[in-house]
Amino acid sequence: MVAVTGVSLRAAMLAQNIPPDAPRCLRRILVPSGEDWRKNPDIAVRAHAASTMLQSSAVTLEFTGLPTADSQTRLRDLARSAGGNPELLVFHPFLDDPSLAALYHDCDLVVVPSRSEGFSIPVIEAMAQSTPVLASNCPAHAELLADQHDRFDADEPADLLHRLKDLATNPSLLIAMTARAAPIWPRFTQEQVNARAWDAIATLINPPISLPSPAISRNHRPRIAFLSPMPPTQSGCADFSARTLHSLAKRADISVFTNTPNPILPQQTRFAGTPGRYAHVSRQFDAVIDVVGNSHFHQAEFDLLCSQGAACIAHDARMLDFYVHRLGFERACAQASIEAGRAVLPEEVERWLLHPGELPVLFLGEIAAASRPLFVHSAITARLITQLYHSTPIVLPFPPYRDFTDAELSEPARARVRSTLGLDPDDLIIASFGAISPDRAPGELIWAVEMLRNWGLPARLALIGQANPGIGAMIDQLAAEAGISVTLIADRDNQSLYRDWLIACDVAVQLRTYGLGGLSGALIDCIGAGVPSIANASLAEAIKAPSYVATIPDALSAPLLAEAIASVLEQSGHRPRPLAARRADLATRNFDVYCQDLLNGLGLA
Amino acid sequence: MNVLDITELAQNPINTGIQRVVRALIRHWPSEIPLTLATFDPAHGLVQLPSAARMILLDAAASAEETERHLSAAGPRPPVLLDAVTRILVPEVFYDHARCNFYRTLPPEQCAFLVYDLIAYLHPERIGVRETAPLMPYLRLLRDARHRAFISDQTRTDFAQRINRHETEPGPVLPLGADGLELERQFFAATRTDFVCIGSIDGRKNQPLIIAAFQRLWQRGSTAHLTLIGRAFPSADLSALDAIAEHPHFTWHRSATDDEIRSCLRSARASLYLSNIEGYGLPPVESLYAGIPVIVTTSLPSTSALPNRGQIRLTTLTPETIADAVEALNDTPNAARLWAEAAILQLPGWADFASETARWLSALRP
Repeated sequence: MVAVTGVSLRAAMLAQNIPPDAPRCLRRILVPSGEDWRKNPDIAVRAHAASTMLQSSAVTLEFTGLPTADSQTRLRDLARSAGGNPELLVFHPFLDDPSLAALYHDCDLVVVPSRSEGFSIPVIEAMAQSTPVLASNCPAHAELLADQHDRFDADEPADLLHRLKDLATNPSLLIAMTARAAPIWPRFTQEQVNARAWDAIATLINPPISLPSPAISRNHRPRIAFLSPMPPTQSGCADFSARTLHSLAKRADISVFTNTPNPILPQQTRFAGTPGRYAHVSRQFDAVIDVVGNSHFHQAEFDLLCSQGAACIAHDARMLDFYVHRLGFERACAQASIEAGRAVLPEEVERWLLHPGELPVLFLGEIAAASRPLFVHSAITARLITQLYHSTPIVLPFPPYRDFTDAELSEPARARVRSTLGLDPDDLIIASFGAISPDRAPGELIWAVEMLRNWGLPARLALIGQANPGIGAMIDQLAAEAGISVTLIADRDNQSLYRDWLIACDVAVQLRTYGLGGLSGALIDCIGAGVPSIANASLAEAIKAPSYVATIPDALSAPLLAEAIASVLEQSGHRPRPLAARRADLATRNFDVYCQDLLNGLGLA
Repeated sequence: MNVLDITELAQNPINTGIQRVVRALIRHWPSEIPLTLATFDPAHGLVQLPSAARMILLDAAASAEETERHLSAAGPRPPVLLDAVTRILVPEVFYDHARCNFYRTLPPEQCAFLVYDLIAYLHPERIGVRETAPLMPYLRLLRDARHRAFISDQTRTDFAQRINRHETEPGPVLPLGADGLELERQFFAATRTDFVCIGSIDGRKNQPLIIAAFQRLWQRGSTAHLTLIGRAFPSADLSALDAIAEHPHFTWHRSATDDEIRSCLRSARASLYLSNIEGYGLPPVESLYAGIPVIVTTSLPSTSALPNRGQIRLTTLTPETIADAVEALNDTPNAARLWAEAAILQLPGWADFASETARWLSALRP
């Protein structure tokens, strides 16, 4: 077996608050060198000396690794004989790491002219300081610098001279080189290199997951390590994991690793401890599943996934909030720069937090790279991951985890619940479930209900779910402006009340102001309860919604929403639930199917 | 008293299409019907503009800063006395909630609104609107108004059927003027070979389909010349234009003055305007007003209400259907017939629009 790990950057060589795309012009060129003939500093001296532009602009050519007076004199003589000014050659014989990092940072270009290299640490060191790198064509450089514009012929001074002239006259090329380098060097942090090394070792210890697992080969139930927050953690992911394990435990032996204190685990699963490397390197398991989501509950799972690699269920279509709030703003900017292939500024990230619809990347790059396989719940997310990260996730349709019987959804039963909730039998209850927040477009809902009422329909709006402090005042203001009243029930702990409203309402509306393939657990709840619903197009597509979910365009419009609601009411005759369509949908959208697909994806079916 | 609320024009004159209409209304308002120009001031309600404002605001070439300076120097702005016989016409679109709320406090019988289109609400994706909630107070104002007029029958129908949904009479249609270009009457000559397409490249006007149609025609040996006039929106896909940029029978004017547009139309055999979604669509009626036939979409509000003369109306837009229409106009006898039809069309000018608007407003019973 051959595993390529690369060489890791020393901690001191990592960038510290460097503005990556600060305008540069060519003033100082650094040539990391050495006394070894392979280092080939002569070509840099010849090209530099032959350039009238560099000479007249007093661009310095600076060297590391050449401590001897003989080497320095030889290169100065060479510069003079080639027509250059030997005073422009500067030598830095011995530097500690902080000084070397500063030198990389302060120079405007690093030229690595080696004829041969095993890896070429200077290339990634310079990149880590956001300094553009021009390197020779040797194989190690070609592997690091895929773009031929970043390389030159090590035996052809004219080629290097030509490149240097271009860079001197067009500084935007330097910025482009930096942008191309941005995704490269982070692959060589100590964590990444260690992960590759441990991956290789783990692969030797545990056979690849695509091979029949020992348990399967012996016709035993597969053994799965499952790392996730669990109830009573107040998290949709925790609830979902609990429901998944309830079904998965019928088919596999489950060891749950969780940081949740006093976790509530489904029957037939066992608590195996807090998340750690043990699960990932142990031969005890046929598969390890890390569950990650866009909240602080998933720190341990994320860290282990990225360092150890594993199967992963990625709950969310983006991880921006996790990066910003859990890993820090700098890390978020760095990751965004890597994924976008350009320098991303902090103000851009701040804007994305407010307007997630403008996100050009998903912050799923590290997860996609570390996951084998990666499971997602939305075909749109899968498509975006493939486009952005060249990884092919497996899509598992998201099943509802609140179960309803047909009897609960019958008209007499619904009438009783409506009566319990104090709802007028003639009112048309338009409900929206889940998080109550600006990105759920409450303003569109409120104005749509205002229009419905103007059209003579006795529409009433109810928002049922979780709300951050202050959201109530915002809803009140919007409602007052539109002249309607809104029932706001923000009681996350009262699951019974949430169920009652799912049973009682006439139409559900679930909107998002952004696409990205994000899912809505609340829309899944509505589908599971057979509620005639309306969602914006990308949300419905991400969920593969059934026929009783009507759609409106992603460009949200209160009049179009009002029309859609009126149309649903006309079609459904206001009340009865589409129970047959619900049954047909749930035949394929349930946790048994989900878990079977999960096991298939793991190669454990 | 008739009051015209022109707040947007006075505060931010940037030559939008709506401001062109408002200016025409002021310029051509019948002298025998008194008119007071006013703006909305959040502190004082409607305030009267000084009489010099009329001349200041009709200068479309003035910058916003110049206009503001001149208006400030023109004199005080006393509050408009809103007595029982005051009628206020708002010929602007606005999303200022304070202004919307102000009109909701006035007696509805005294306020009238000119409704342009409902694209922001019914086709938001076509014009980059992501959410309508901030725009809804204005729509509610229109919906609840006692008096409204519409610039097209299509807007009126959309309003009646999709916004209002009540049996009440929505209001009259007041078609916009077709003579704004001030192009003299054109006459057919077989030597005219230009097909002129006026309109910004905004993703709605189907210029790529028109180009594809002409590429087919040129492959068949046609010498029909295509002239595009219009700036490209930043988001526009220009690959089709780039592909024919050097073609000898193609010209693109990214910006053009009225003089340059008139010059292009003086050699035009016909004009094309193939927009899917449009509030009105002035270029084709301006073309027809000068006697030049047009190729248009069937649904275009400005032409769909006219007798079908001098027009080739396309229901389905494909390169083939467009190429067929161009070929029909390249046939000289056919072209001559369409030119003759266009010549007898009676189209309203801006003076007609202003006059009809003034009469309508005057006839409203406060």
